[in-house]
Amino acid sequence: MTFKTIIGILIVFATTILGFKFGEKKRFKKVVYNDLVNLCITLKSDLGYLNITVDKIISKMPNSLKEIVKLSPQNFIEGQKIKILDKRFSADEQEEITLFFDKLGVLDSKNLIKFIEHYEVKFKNRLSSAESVYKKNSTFCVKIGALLGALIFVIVI
Amino acid sequence: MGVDIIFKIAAIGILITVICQILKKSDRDDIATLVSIAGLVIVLSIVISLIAELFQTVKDIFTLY
Repeated sequence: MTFKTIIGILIVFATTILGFKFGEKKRFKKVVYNDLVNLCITLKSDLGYLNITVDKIISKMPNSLKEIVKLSPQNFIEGQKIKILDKRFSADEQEEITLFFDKLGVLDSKNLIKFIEHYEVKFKNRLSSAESVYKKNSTFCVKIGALLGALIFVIVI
Repeated sequence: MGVDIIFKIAAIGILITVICQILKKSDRDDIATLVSIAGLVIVLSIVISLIAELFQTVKDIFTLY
């Protein structure tokens, strides 16, 4: 009886952890949009003081953004197109991020600040929706994981 | 066979119902349907041998061959 109980607790614990890990997959989008909003704020303040170079933009990119956007000085100097191929983002979202990075350095500082402000609002909206999706999904996955564990325990034992 | 099997089926039923409710609340009605069908199949697979045994017993009692 005790052995069965221990096995049952272990199964439920393992499936709950699995559910939690599965739910964490949705976290990446939230992190990327949070980093994009932060990048917009930093770029805006740097532009205000006319204190920005291509190298600075690249160096200020957080790791999560570097993972999806491969930026090099050639993108700014030679006008090479930036491509994002990440399955976690929809085509619409990918296009939005690509457009943002494509336009950086093209406009004069005043218009660039306006452009960044515009995109900051867009990214904030995306961030709030990504946050709600993450919250909903993480609790859902944990619940389903725990219940599936209990179900497996009942069927097996 | 004993009363255990009844409790087992009851537990499966409760768990499947709770899972279905959670799935329906998260707008995953299609998966909820699949889960309930899976639950039905699981319970049937447990019960099928017992039903076969019951039929055999009925046949034996009434000497139906």
